[in-house]
This record gives sequence, C-alpha cells and structure tokens, in this order.
Amino acid sequence: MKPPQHTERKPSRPTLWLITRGERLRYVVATVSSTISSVCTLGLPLVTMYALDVLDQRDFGYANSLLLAIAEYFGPNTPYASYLVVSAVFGVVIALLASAFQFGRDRLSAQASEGIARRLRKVLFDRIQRVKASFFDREEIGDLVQRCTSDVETVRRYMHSDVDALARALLILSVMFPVLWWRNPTLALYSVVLMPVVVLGGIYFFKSVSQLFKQTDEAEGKLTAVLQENLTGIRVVQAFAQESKEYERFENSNREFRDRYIRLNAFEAVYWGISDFVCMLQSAIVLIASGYLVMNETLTIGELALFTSLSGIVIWRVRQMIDVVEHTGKTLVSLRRINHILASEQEPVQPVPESASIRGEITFEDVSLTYDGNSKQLDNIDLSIRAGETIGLVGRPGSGKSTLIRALMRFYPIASGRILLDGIDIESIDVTWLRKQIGCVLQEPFLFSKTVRENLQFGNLAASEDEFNTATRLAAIHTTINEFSAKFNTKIGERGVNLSGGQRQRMALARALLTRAPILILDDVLSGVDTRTESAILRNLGDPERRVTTIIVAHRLTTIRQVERIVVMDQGRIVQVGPHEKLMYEPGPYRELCDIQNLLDETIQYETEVASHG
Amino acid sequence: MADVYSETDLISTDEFQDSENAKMEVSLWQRLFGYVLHYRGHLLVVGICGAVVGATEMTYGLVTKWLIDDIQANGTQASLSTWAALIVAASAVVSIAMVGLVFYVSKLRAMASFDIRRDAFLNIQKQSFKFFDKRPVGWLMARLTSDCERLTDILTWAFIDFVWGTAMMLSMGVVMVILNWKLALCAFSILPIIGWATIKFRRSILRTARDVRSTNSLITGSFNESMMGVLTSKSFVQESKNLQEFTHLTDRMYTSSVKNLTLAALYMPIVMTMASVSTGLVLSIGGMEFLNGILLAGSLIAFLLWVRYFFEPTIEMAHWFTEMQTAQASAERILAVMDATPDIDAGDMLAASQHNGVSSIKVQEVDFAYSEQKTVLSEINLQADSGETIALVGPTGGGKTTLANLLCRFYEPTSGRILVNNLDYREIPLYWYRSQLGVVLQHPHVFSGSILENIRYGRTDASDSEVFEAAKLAGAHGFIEAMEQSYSTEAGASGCKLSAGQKQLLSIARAILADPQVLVLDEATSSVDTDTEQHIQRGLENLLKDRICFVIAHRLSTIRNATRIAFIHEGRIVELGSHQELLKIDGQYADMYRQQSMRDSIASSFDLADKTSE
Repeated sequence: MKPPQHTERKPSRPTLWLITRGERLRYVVATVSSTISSVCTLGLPLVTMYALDVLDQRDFGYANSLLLAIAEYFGPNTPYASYLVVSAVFGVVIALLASAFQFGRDRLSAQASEGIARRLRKVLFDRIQRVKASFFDREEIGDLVQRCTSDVETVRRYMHSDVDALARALLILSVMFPVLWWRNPTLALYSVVLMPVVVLGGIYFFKSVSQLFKQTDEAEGKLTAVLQENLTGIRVVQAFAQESKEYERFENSNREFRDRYIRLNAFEAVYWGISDFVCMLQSAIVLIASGYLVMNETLTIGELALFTSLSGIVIWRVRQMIDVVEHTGKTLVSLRRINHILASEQEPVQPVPESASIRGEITFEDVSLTYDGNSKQLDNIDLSIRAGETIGLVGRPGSGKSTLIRALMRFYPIASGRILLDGIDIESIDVTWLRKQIGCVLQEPFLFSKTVRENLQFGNLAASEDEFNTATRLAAIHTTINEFSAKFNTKIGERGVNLSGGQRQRMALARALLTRAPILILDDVLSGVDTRTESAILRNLGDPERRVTTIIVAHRLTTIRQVERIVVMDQGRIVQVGPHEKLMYEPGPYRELCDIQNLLDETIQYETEVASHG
Repeated sequence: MADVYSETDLISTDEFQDSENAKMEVSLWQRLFGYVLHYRGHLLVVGICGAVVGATEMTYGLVTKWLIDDIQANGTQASLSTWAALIVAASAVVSIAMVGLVFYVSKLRAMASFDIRRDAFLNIQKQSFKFFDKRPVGWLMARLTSDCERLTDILTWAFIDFVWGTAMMLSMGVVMVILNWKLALCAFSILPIIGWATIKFRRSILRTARDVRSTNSLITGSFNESMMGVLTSKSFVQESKNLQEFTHLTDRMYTSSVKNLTLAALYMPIVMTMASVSTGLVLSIGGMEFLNGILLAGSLIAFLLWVRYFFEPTIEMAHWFTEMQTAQASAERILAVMDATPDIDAGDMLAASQHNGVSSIKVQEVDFAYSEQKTVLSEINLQADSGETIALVGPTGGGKTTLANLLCRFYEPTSGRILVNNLDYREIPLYWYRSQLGVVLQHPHVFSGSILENIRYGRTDASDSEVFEAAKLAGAHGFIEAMEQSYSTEAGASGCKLSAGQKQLLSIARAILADPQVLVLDEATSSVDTDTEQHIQRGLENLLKDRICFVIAHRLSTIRNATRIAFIHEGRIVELGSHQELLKIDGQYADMYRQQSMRDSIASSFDLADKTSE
C-alpha cells in the first residue's frame, strides 16, 4: 500500500501579496472594471452640467455637441425638451454602465476573496493534521480554532472589500480631478485642499489608538477564555458549588471587556465627528468658492453643480479609504496568527520500506524521552518484544507507560536511543507507514461526531459488513450497537447517542481491531469495563488465529497476568520484566501487587467455601 | 447513558437546521430590544442625534439652493458670508451630533451585550446536567460570544440606521414636496421599483446568507474535531480522508458565499441605477419647468443633489432586514438559553442551612429516565447513614453513574424521593447540599492554572499545607513533587502532560480537600494501579469515619469492605447487602467476585499463594 503523497514544501509565510496567488488576474480585471465604472460615474454629472448651462443661458452653445446632434435628429421642433430627454436617457445609460462594471468588479472580487479563503482553510486544515503531535501541548485548541476561522474571515473580508480600496480611491481621484481641472483649475485645487488633513489625520488616529484596539481584543480574548473554562468544567463547578466564585470571575472579565470597548469607541466617536466635520467643510469650501466664482461670472451654474457633486464623491471616498488603514492593521495581525500554524513543524515524509508485510517485532534500544528538556519521562528503556508476543505494561500513574506508546507511535521524538520495528529504525521510515502497522487504542479514546459506522471505518475504510460484525463482537460492543435506534448508522454525539466511558473504550477497540494491523496497542482500554466483559474481550484477543504483537497497559492483575511477559515501569524506567509466574516470586513492586491480589484470592476461596457450605 | 460529557460535541455541527421561516418574529426582537430600552436616557440621546444627523443631510442641498437663488437674484450683492456661516454652523451641529451618536450607540451596545451575556451566564449556571448533556460547550460559547455581539449590533446600529434613514428621507421628502410637489413625485416615482427589487433580493440574499452561516459552523466544527481527535487521525492515518471531506465543505462555502456576494453586488447597483433614473426624470422634467420659469435654478440643482442620496437609506435598511432575519435563529437560541428553566430548583442560593452535616441519605422508590422512552433506573431503594460506605457495582451501562448523579442532585428522580436527614432533598437549598458533597466524576476535569489551584478548587480557603495533606492522602503528592515546578506546575487546559491516572488522583485530592460530609467516587481510581489505589483507600478510611461514602468501582478490592453493596443490573438493584451476605446468596455478585480471582482456577491460584507464603 502506498502512503498518500503530499509534496513537501517549505512552510510558506503568507503575506498579503502571496495569498493572492492564483487570483491576481481577477484582481487586475476587477481593477480595470472599477476604472471603467469610475469613468462612467462621471457621465450623469457632466450631462447635467451641460443641460443646466443650456437652460440657464438659453444658449445651445453650451450644449454637448454629441447630445445636441442626437437631440436635433429626434426632435428638431422642440429643441429644449428633446435635448433634456436625450441628456437624461444618455445619463441613465451611462449610469447603468457604471453599475454594470461595478457589479463586475464586485463579483470578481467575491470570487477572488472566497478563493483565497478557501485555499487558506484547506492549507490550514492540512497543516493542522500533519503538524507534530507535540505542537498541541503548547496550544489551546480554542485559540487554534479561532485562528482557522475568524482570522481567515478577517482576511477574507479584507480581500473582498478593502484590498483595492486604495487603488479605487486613487482611481476616482485621477479620473475626477482632471475633469475638475479642465473646467476650472483654481476651483479644482480648492476641492481637494482638505484632503491631506483627512488622510493624515486618519492615519494618525489609527496609529494612536492601535494600543486601545489591542487591549480591547485582549479583553475579549480573556472573556472567551473564562467562559470556555467555566463551561467545560461546569460539572465540577456545580459539584463543588463554586458558582458564585465563577460568577465573580466572569463578571470581572465581562465588565473589563465592556469598559475597554466603550473607551475605544469614545475615541472613535471623536474621530468620526472631526473627520466628518472636515469633509463637510471641504464641501462647504467648494460650494462657497463656486458661488463666488459664479457671482463673478467666471463659473457657470452647470459647473457649480458639477463641482458640488463630484467633490462630494471624492472626499467621502477618500474618507472611507481611511478605514482601510485600520482594516489593514487588523488583517496583518490575523495573517500573523494564521502564519503561526502554517510555520509549525510538520511531520516529515520519509521513504516507505519495501517489504509488503511486517512480522511485528519491536525493540527499544536505550530509549530516553523528555517532554520539556528537563525531567526524563523515559529513562534508558531497553526492551525487545517478539513478533506475536503479548506484553503487559504496569506501573503507577506517570511512570511512563503511555509515553512509551507515544514514542512507538512517533507522536513524540525520542531524545536518544533507537526504536526498531522488524529491525528497521522507526525514525528512518515514513511515519504514516509506521502507524498503519499499528492498531492503537489511546487512553481516553476520541470518537468523532459521526455515525458508529463512520467511526469504525476510521480503522478500515473498505471493511465489509462481516468485518464490522466480527470486530464489534470481539470488542464486546456488538450488542450495545444493535440496541441503538439506528444501529450502525446511529450518530455519536449530542444529536445521537451519548456513550458511557466503557462503551467508548470498546468502540475504540473495535475500530483498532478493524485495522488488522500486525501490532495492537491498548492503552488502559478496559478500565471502564466490568471484569466479566474484560475477560471475554481478552479471551477473544488471545484467539491464535488473530494473534498479533500486543501491548496492553492495564491496572487489574486479572488482566495483566494473562499476558506472556509483564513490564513493570517506575519513574520512566523498566524495573522488572518477565512472566507473571516469575515476577511474583521476585521481590519488587510486582510482587507487592500480587500480594494484594493473593490476599484477595485467599479470601475469595475462603468466603466462597464458607458461603456454599454453610 | 447520557451522563457522559463527550468532547466530540464541543461544537455543534448542525447549527442551522432550525428556523427556515423567512417570517420576522417581532416578539423575539421586542424582548431583546428590552435590553436596549433599559437604558432609556442613552437611547433617547442616540435617537435625537440620529434624527439630527438625518434631518440635516438635506441642509447642504438647501444652502446650495439659497446661494444660487441669491446670486441669480442679487448678482454681486449676494451675501455669500451668510451662506458660508450657515453651512459651517450646520456642519458643526451634524458633527457634534455624530460624536454623540457614535459614542452613545457604542456604549448602548456594550451595555446591552454585557447585560444579555450576564443574564445568559447566570441562567446557565443554574442548569442541571441534563441541560449540558444536550448542549455542547462550543454551542453555548457561540451564544455567549458571537451571537451576543451580533444581536446587540443589530439592536443598536439597525435602530440608529432606521432613525437616521427615516429622518433623512422624511426631511428631504418634505422639503422637496414643499419646493415643488410635482417634481418631488417624479423623483419618488421609482420608489415602488426599488421596493420591489428590495423584497425580491432580500429573499434570495437571505437564503444564501443562511447557507453561508450553516456551512461556516460546519467548518468550525470540522476544525475543532480535527484538533480534538488529532492523535486518533494520526494513528489511523486518516489525514487525507479528513482533508477530502473538509474540501467538500470549503467548496460548498465557496459556492454559497460567491452566490451571496453576487446577489448583494447585484442589488446595490440596481438601487443606484434607479437613483440615476430618478435624476434623469428630475433633470428633464425639472429642466422644462426651469425653462418655463416655474422652477428656480437653485431648486433644480438642490433636487439633483438630493435625489442622488435620497435612496441610500433603503440600501441600509434592506441590509438590516436581511441581517435581522439571518440573525433570527441566533435570537431564538440566546433567548432559549436565558429562558431555560432549570429542572432543578436550587432554592435559596445563599440560605445557610440549619442542618449540621448530613447524617443520613435515603433513596425511596426512585425511578429515573433521561428521556421518556427509556427508563434507566427503576424502584431503587437504598439507605446510608453516617460512617457507612455504599458500593455500587454491576456491569457497564447498568445505571450506576446515573444513580450517583441522582445522589449528587445533578439530576432529580423522575419519581420517588431521596431524603437527606429525612427531608426530601428538593426542599433543601441545593448549594448547601452540594457544599456537603465531595464528588469525583467519571471523567476528571482539570482547569487551567497550577496544580495547587486545581486541588484548592475543592475548598478555596484551604491553606497550602492542607492542600499538600489532601494530595498525600490521594497519593498524588509523589508525582507532583517529582515535577520540575512541583505544585506550581501549570495543569493546562489541554492537560496533555497529565495522564488519565494523574488527573484522577488530582480530582480525588480536590474532593478530599473539600472535607465533605458525603463523598461520591465514580470510578475514581480506574486508571490507577492497585498499589496506589490501596494507598488511597487507607488514606480515606480515617476520613470516612463519620461520613457517608458512595463508591462505584470495578475492582472488587475497592468495594468489598463497603458496609453495603448494591449490585445494579439493568437499572435495578438486584442484590443488596454486605459482602458476606451477598456471597451467601451466591448470586450475580458472587459470580462477579469469583471472576476477579486469578482466572484459570481458584485452586491453582491457591497453590501459587501457598508457594509464596512458604
């Protein structure tokens, strides 16, 4: 079987420029479309200017010659009326064109931005799955989900409406200013005189409140964290009647967020007021100056109308552009957050061994492992497991049992030593190939909120109905599944059945059995299962036809003593290895366990006899 | 078995199945608007500011008209300075109103969102486990965070946009009608078309917007699950299949988003084009009137200016209508959370009870069902007095955990009673009762924060040495001390570094620290080795002298010393009595007990035991 091929690229650090890859042509066409639309927006005000001057001066010398020609062609008898109608129709048609191109721009940028978002989501999902397992020790899942969803949304929104805002504002300016200049250069200058104030003032404002923005975001993040914490632990909160303390914690962060938000918006309010005032002042300057020029008869009424309407469009467009400064800042922050995931270390792709099947022989050679670089979770482990052998791992909580398994699964890198599978160093082979050789049930197994069948298919996509039945019977969960309303198609999760701890474990066991992998690992899988069911499962697994190399972590001696060899761990070391019959005579921790059990056995023997005889 | 909190359900996947109706539920919004209405003063200021801003939108056009009329009438005698002063004054008024508007709207929004969130949070805290069984954490999180923000956005900004829009359209409309009602009617004649387009588009935009949102929540759920189950995916090498499934989602997101944005991109230009048609009408008809001396040039220009902006509020309002309808489901859900009546009546939250401790608990004829179809417990009778330990045993899925949950009053019996100190516990203040309990749940929960803080959660005023003492009794002291930072070690929300067994020990320490009158241990030591377990039992012996303890376990060594053992099978107590008594009956318990012996045969294990004692 060939492992999925994923081409290994260097983690690309996305910049605003990089993420537009593949969509740039759309943006170019959108910008062209936007330009045409801007030019067309000029149509109606210009037509109006000509018409007003014609009417005001009662002189067709002021008319636009093209419109005049058309008007004379259609209605030579009613020159004014036909000129007006032709102007109006022409204006509307051009406005329609402007709208059409505007639509073109919007649609293209919708496709482009959604395309970018889709690719970002896919790349993130892929990365998240292929990142090294240790990555999740340092991260909060809630925060990672935020990065993959709302940060992507921020980028998407920016790419949809803001990314070309600067270009559009400049376009409008470069289309309209020449027209204004053409009609009256002085007035044209007057109509942009306050623009620098708007631009610089806006940039200055957003620079100076960026700290406030950050604080508000942080307050919101804190509130989210407090809520998440409270809700995930709500059962413990209630069990210890800590509601009032929790409420206090919540109330504080809720208030903190509210106050920060209000403070930030007080600044925004002032900014809005001032910048609106400046924009209105700009329009007032244009109006009064035009009035003055009209009074001195250097400007026509039509031109006045043109200036008042166009300068209004320009200044508000520039004003809107300033918001983009703020959005750009936020988007860059989001990109950085997304980048954090994309730049994380991936699991390597390595060669796949040629041999089609493995025997399942595992050797640990002087293996040490540490999570934090300080204390050793595994300390010089030496152990070889024969193909087909069943090994039991016992030890106190934190003695390194699960860590040993994580090392074998290559969830965590080992610090020194080697782990060999059929004599091959597992660090030298492809990690997905390695995991395919192992059917694994983790401590606290995870089931997806899908149907029972879909969950089981995780073990083997191609499993037949017979195989499902066999595996679930072996795991002693078959009857339970058949009691569900929709049997194998029952959904697991809040909309379907909720499973008890023991049921989850057995479901996960069935899933692992379906892999038919040459190695089987059961990490504390039967702790939530009663003794009788446990014995049945163990009997099933011991069936010679199904025998594979098996590693069982367990605490009950009744489980452990059935395996061929027992490995006793303590503080990351192996302290005893051997079959039950041998270890129970050696002084050591195992014998202490046995003593407890033996005492129990004696009592059972005694009590059973007493009970049955009298 | 609905008693298990499953992490699979962290984020609901079918968030948007409900509420496809396009009808506006006025009552919903009325109730939510009550939160805004609570701040009447603020609301009034906001309303006035909005009205002022809206009503003064037409000033610019009006001053333009007066200025032109003045110039045309008085030539160079026109008083430009008057008009300049007027327009600057008007701008100042608008700007000041703008500051007030933005400030108070933001404040109102923050206040309302604070209140809604607080009310929802408080009500959530009062809910029983039943509530949380059906509602995953992610679902609740979405209600308290994004929904809250979104709804208050609508409640405040939509309100202000309506006030502003209405004020603007009304004032502008009135002025237009006064100046020239015929021309005004011409300008308004396109309103029905805009209205028609608005209704038409609103419907399809709404449909696509819902699709976008539902797909979005599926994507969030998918990201969440991929992270929660990352080790499972890795161990079964299912990364490619997951990505493939996720790709379907992103494709769906792309399609529906582009459709949604395209519709929006189509709607706006249509309104703008209609505004141009209106401009064309005004230009041609007004132009003729101007020519005939019925209309002044100033009026015509003012009309042309106004018509461009007159229809803008319709776009805003249409936007808010769509927004309100897509958010209707959010409104329903958050109100449902706030309205949910806890099925457990907590009684007076702070009432100090006159009872001194718990001296007895009696379960009388208790039946229980999570849902109507399936009874989980029936006819349960059980009694426990001070100093007694009651063990609940039996096969998985039999109802042990459910009974424990009933004892803690996480759920209440469907029928029958549970008496605490001979009083129905429904008549005792819940918080008092819970403060008498020490509970270790089946799935131990670790909060973020240090290990010390985690244990101290059991009793917040406990001193450090008391915490250490509890940890020692729980057998947790050893592994905590071995950690780099000992008790200050971060336990972490992900809690990855702590093994299942270690988490159990922490939970036990937490319960011990609470120094409870009643201790409930639900498989508290299932992932702990027998040696540690024995250690804990010895530790508890002292503690339990005059307390009541309920314990669920599979290891019979844990339970054989109990005062009474209740064997629960398929929801009934089938055997009840002391260990000796139950052995005498030689029923299911005795059977199960014998299973615990070294399996093969009792005789052989006897042999082994003999040899050891030699």
